[in-house]
Amino acid sequence: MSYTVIFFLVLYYVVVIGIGYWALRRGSGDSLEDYLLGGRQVGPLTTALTLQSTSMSGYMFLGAGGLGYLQGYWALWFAAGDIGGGVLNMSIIGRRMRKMSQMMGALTSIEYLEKRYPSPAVRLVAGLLTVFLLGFYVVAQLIAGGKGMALVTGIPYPAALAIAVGIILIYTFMGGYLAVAYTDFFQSLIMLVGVMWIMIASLTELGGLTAANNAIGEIDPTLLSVWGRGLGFEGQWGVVAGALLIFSVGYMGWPHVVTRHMAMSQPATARKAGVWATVWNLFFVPAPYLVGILAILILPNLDDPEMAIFQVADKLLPAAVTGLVMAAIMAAIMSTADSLLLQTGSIASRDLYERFINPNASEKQMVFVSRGLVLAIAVIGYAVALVEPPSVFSIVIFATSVLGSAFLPAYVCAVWWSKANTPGALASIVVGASVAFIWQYAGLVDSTQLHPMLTGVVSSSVTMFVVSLATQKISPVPEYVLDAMQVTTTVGPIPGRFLTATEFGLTQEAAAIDKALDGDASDG
Amino acid sequence: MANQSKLSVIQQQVDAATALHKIDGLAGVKAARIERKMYYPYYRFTANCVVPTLFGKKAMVVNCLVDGVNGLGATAGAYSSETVTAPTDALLQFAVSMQEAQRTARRTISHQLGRKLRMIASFEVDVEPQCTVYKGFWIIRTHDTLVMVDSSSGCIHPLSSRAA
Repeated sequence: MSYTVIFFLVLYYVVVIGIGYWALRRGSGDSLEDYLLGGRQVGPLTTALTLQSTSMSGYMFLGAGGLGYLQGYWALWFAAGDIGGGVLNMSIIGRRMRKMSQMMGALTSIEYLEKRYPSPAVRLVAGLLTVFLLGFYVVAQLIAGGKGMALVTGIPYPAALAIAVGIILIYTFMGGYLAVAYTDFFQSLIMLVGVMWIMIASLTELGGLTAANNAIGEIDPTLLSVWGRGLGFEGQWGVVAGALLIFSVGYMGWPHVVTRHMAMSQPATARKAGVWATVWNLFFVPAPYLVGILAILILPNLDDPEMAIFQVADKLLPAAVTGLVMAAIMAAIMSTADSLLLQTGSIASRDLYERFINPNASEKQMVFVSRGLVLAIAVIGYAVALVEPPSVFSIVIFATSVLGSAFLPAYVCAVWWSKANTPGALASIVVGASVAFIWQYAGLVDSTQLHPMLTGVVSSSVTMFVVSLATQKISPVPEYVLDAMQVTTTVGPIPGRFLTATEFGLTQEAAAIDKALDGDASDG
Repeated sequence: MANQSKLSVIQQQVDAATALHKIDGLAGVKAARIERKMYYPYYRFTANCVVPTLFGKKAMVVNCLVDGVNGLGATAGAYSSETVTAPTDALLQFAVSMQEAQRTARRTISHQLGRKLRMIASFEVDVEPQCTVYKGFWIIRTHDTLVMVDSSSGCIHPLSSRAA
């Protein structure tokens, strides 16, 4: 690794911290929003790019590229699901979940599940499962960070991994660079420009896409097919469906993602941000997969296919650009790890420790629990990543498949199906997680040609419907939940054009005013 | 004549004419009319917080409003208030105690600080009860429904009630 790369890598961090400092000075008022937003309103574009920079994980830079390198165009099935996943998620449960969670006063996505499906067991099972699976997901980020750091700095992997884990911990305990929107915005732009630059440089190097495809076809024509290397997935629609589902509908079952709906901004801003996020996705999401595919020609003998994007950048880009792009990628990995750790810590402290162990816990005790868990994940993750590091791709696919299978019906039915009750939700979570887990580890994918995500989601959905309907008499959905669903579902007898202007933050006020007006009318 | 009450209200930014104009614009017909104005109760808290940053500790003030009817908390931006006299039957009644509201405020502020600053840290949060405050809502009838307009922000929300 050249000193020029390291210089520009350092320069990147100096600029990012400088932006944070500038925002801090600009928002010199003493309010929280002034501090975070630099005293300005954040518009839809900044909102969208901020969201994207924290949601694009190490998977995109290591897992996606590695998959493209190993399987050719088959990898694009995953990209196809990912491009529209965010908007699908927001459209199907976004608005309703925001209203429901506000009406029920839930702060975390697990607390929301308990309030919608009233039972401590729901919170306990959902909390434990989420902490376990997000822990796995974090390990993938640690490995990604370690591998990236090793390549960028040239130091041995164990030391690079330790540095990456240390930085991620500091990041989590100290609040990102400054956690201001403008640093995320800048990071997101650099990521997009960087990945596009790598892709264009790769295409230029190979004489365009057609020439590259011809060359790949000469090496192995099956890499150009949608069935993978050696047509290994030919006709396996069950596996293809799973690949599509993971990053499309799967998002709706991820507690760390749906929690964003609970803090969604005004619909007009959210909708415009959704459009920007989709545009960003259209350009960004396919690029890492494609670079991985092109790397088959550029770097035919890669030891670690997951390093394809880093290695291609190192080979083709000017040293200065490589430094900037790699810094942005490392920053994205760190901010994702930080978000996941925050979610995990929050669920462990609020949803498990405060709820079940120490209901009178002070804030300091809860912080202690959160930090303890984060440290434990870091230590275990370091050991796993050092001794026998699994691929980033396999960890992410495992964690997201099990999460999606467990929680998808629970979150979707929470706002769409008034008969979804506590036994149904609990059984659905347990069955979905178990089926996806067993499918993966019993090697049933090869024998059945069905992806764990597909079997998991189908079984958790069927379980939700069957158990809910069978237990309606012994466990009816409480009236207050039905009332909340009613308010969530209907926006009054209002023409659709009012819907776009509705501020959902006022839902509880509207419900109380409705009640008062009806009371006045009946008194009168 | 109905009983009147003096109350502290979040400064009105949207008057009746502006609220009507807004609803007319959305409904596409000039058929809206103001039915009444209602006042919604909140407990107001101010928290002096100290948060760690990369450049040292920073003191900040976080405002929190706790819904006096449902007990739900939310952090709020700065606002000014005014004293108005309103008919008692236009006020919604408090259903949550101050102690309960203060607990909610502390929990809400701590959670929001951690979430927005993206960090796991023990923040110094000193919550001080300020007062109760009301927010005015214009209740507007269009040709087929009722809509409420927040008189401080101009935000709207439809109502399912047909009475007013």
